Amino acid sequence: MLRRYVAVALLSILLLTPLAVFAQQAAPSAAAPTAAQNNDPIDRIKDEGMNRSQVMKILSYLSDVIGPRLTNSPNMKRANVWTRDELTKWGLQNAHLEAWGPFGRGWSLKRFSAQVVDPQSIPLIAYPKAWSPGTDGVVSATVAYLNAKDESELEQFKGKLKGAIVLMSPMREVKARFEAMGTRRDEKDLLSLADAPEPRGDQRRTFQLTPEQRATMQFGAKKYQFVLDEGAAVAIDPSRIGDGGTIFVQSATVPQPLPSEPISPNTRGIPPYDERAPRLTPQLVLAVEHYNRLIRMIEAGEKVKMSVDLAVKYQDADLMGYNTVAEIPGSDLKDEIVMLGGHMDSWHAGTGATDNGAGVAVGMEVVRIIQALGLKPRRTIRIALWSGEEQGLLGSRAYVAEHFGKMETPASPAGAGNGNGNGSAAPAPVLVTKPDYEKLSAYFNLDNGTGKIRGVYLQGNEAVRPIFRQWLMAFRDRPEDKSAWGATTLSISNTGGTDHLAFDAIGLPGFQFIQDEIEYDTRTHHSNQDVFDRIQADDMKQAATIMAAFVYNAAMLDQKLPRKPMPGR
Amino acid sequence: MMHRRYAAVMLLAFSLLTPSASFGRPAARRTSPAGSSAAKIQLAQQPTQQPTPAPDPNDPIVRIKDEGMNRSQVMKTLSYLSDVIGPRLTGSPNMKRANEWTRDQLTKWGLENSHLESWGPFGRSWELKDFSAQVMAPQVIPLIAYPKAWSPGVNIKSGEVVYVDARDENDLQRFKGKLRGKIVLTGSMREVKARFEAPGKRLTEKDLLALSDAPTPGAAGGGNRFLSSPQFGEFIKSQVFSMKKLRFFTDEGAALLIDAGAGDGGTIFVSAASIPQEIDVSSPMAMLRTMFMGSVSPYDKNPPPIIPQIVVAVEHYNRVARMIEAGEKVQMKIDFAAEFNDKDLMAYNTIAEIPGGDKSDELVMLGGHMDSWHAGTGATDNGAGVAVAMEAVRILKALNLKPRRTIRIGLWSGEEQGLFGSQAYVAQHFGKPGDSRDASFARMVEGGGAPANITRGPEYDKLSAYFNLDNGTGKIRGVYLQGNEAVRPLFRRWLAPFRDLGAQTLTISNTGGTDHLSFDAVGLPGFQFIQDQVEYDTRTHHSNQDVFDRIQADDLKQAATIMAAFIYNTAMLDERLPRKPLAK
Repeated sequence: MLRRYVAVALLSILLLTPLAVFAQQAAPSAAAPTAAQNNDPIDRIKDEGMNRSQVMKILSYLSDVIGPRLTNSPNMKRANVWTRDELTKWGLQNAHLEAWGPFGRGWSLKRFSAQVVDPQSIPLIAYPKAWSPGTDGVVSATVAYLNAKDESELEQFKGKLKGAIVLMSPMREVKARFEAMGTRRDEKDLLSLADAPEPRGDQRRTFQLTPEQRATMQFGAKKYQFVLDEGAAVAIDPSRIGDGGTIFVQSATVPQPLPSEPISPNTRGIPPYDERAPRLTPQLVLAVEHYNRLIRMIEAGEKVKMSVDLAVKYQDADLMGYNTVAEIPGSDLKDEIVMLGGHMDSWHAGTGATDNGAGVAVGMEVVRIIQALGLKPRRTIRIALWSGEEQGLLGSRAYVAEHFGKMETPASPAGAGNGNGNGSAAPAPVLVTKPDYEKLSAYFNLDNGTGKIRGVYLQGNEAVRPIFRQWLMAFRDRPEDKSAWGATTLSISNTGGTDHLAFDAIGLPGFQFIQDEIEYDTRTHHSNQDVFDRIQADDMKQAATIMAAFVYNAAMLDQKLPRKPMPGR
Repeated sequence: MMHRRYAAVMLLAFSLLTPSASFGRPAARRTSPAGSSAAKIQLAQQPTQQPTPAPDPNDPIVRIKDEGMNRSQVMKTLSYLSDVIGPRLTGSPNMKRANEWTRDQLTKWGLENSHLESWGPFGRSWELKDFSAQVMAPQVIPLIAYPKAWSPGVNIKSGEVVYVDARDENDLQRFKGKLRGKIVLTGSMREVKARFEAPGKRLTEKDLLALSDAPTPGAAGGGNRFLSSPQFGEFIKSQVFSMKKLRFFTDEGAALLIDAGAGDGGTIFVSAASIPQEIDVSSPMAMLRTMFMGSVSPYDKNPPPIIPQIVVAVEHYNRVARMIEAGEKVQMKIDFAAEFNDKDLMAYNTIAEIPGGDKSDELVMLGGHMDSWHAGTGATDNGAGVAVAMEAVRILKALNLKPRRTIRIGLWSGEEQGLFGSQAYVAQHFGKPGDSRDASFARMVEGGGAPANITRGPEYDKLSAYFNLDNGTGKIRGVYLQGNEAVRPLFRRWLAPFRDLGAQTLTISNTGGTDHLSFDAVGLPGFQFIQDQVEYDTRTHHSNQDVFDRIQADDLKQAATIMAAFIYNTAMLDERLPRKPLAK
């Protein structure tokens, strides 16, 4: 799941989350039909998915062996090639990499360590931000605390930061954790999703910063410009959330003027992966406890010296990004398509196991199950493993634009490809379709971590509700089932932040499943702890099984799934 | 609190000893006269108990409360001790700096006779000079890792990592001849579970009630039940195999040993480097003793050869193991320099006094251990106890209260290695138990009080009591009476003014693992307070996350205030506190 503008995302979640009053739980589910014939494809899918699962093996290779998959990094390329070959090995056809872009340069870590060397040795939990430049050898320098609340205070540091390692922001208070980091959705959560109101169209797409937010963001950029101009050796931020050794790390900050408002999901300045990105100060994120301790040491009058050794490599030979795409050919309706997938790119401090190795492994396991059972779908099933998601759904948007269509704004075609929003005063964009636009039945996405599937976000498409309800009936909890499926909830809500939006944006049915949180927001989402050990095997098996059933069912229907009415068409 | 492995033993022993019946139906026990809400009910039902009168501003306890809660210095003290001085491994330069800083700080506050008191010899000092660990091939992975204390350093530019997934000696033999110069993952992967329970917690009414209802120690058959339990058998077996592995790695000439850290999510627990020990199998207690208080220690002046040892975060450890299992050739770069120093093998406690009035030759003591493990900054274990004790004497001094008895603060060292500093102090000043090593070790583990034969020191009859705080950052919820029933009415009275601060529970139970045991072991009243857990066992106790940011300011203020009141009350009594009868 991407999180480009945290504040934007946060607020849009607030706007999207239904604040329904929680009533009593609805009547218990009716007894499910007993359809345990051996030849029932859904029963066979359940058996294969739950009893002969490969999902953990796939995910271990992807996360442990290939490792983190920053868009356009060598690991990402290796993941593209490995998934293509693996899918081919399982008998999928037309497995290939599909280029999009240009995206920009890749980045990989060549060496990294950071520690306090004076007045005492303190090994640090730290990680470089993605696309940060290296330090050009070991830098041993004084640590300075840039304790400035505004520009006049910033001026007091003029001439004092040359060659210094700079702590960029104030201490962040750490609270004891009296609440569990891992949670599952309870009946109350699910009921509020089930009771959610019809999503409204526009206002979530653009975003007006408060003057305070704007000032904070502007000052943040100013500080980065200031340390760059002053010739600081390294800039360090505390992890914005997380504690106890868990740090959240994303891209290097490129100091630049704020984008004009309103801010939309497409608003973007110069990213650090842009070839034309300006020179940057090397940037690290430090565990909050270490960060706070350094500030307290400095404030107590200690002279703190740190040693940082950061070597990185940029890959700029090939600026294109790649999606992995493969197919199980259909039969009587084979020119029609059911798609599934998830993004394969990740942030770099963990191994992208929950975001979104989980979605990739589940997507791959789905097609493996269908292929292993020799099921013959009527429509062609196509899996797509995206890249560039963390930088703005870039891989899936490019794919959708290439194959299905895109929103074009008549006045300024350069700004198109958005499709999500028509929130500004710009002329209304229009949909320009490709022939395959009429061939796609639906796209199913999984990208909310390791938690099992609890239902589906209908994304405002009321017409699919009875169909999905029927498909979910096979996953009602029954006494004869050993495990509780727990997947019953249909929410008319939209959910955002990931690749189904690329489809939804042009009126194609794109769905994301409702999943249990587990430790997604508290521990793994963009952190150094997004690793295989956070993965819940039983949840992954359940998710792959249910997704396989959905994909198979969608491929077997007489009709394509119904679509929402599409404005601008 | 000392040694984690001890703590594990004691925890197990405790869980076996704790009467499970009291966890049965808490609702039905609501009216029982214990636990905070139950206590409120009792208060309402007893007309003899006066409603709280308006506080008298001149009442010393009211003044202590005001000073402790409104003008606290405890966080400032603790920040300096943990953030600036840093971790305080016994014998290390940081420990020495802490000894000197606390001595000077106490002097500055007007305490008298503030000095360092040496004990020992303890052993050599160890200081980390340089440390980083990263996987270099097939890709770069910065690691969350920490060296074990007293491990020698090592520099490895690029070393092959071998995963020794051995469950028994046969498995181990497969690695014969394959480990020379290698970096060794010493054990099987450890499964990591999602955390569906909060790491932080406070004692509930149910917990407090169970403490209140605890049986008299010794009456229930003691900790021997643990020693004869199947868990203990398993535990011993795994420990013995660990020793065998360690010997094997040493003989095979491994370059570096890597353990998977306990904890997860970036939190790792780290203590001392291991040395192959002879384990005395003559009795379960002897096994325990020889395992944890072995005949050789890594801080000995001339120990047998020690392989460099580090602990790596479990997620990193498991990933590297899985990479190796998938056929990847993993290479690591290790930069690890440590400085040993054996110029001064003695260790030090910091001691200072507030002189008494009419009973100035009698003593009330308080304290906590100042030494810590090295991967964090020893903020909860036991910077908290040090800062609270210092704050307690600062409060008394700032209010210029004149105690009748002399109040003496002791900030110990060597606690983590076996209560060494406090034991040495007690032996020198108060008395020595005259029983076997096994018996005295058993008492230390179980908190079982004194033997019959004690060689008394000069101040044995002068000490009223010793109060200790060493259970992390949580506020005080009451006191462990350590089997001393006679002090209950006194403590009950002393706790009355702190009803609103959540400290009401008195348990007859023993608690172990820290320095009050050194006093208890010679029959002197030594007490440890009941504290809220907060995140002690889950996150901080001997971990890299035992840092200032884990400290709860309001809790420490409360603890210092209550500790100050107890000290003052003890110093003002007409009599010394009653003692437990000595063993027959």
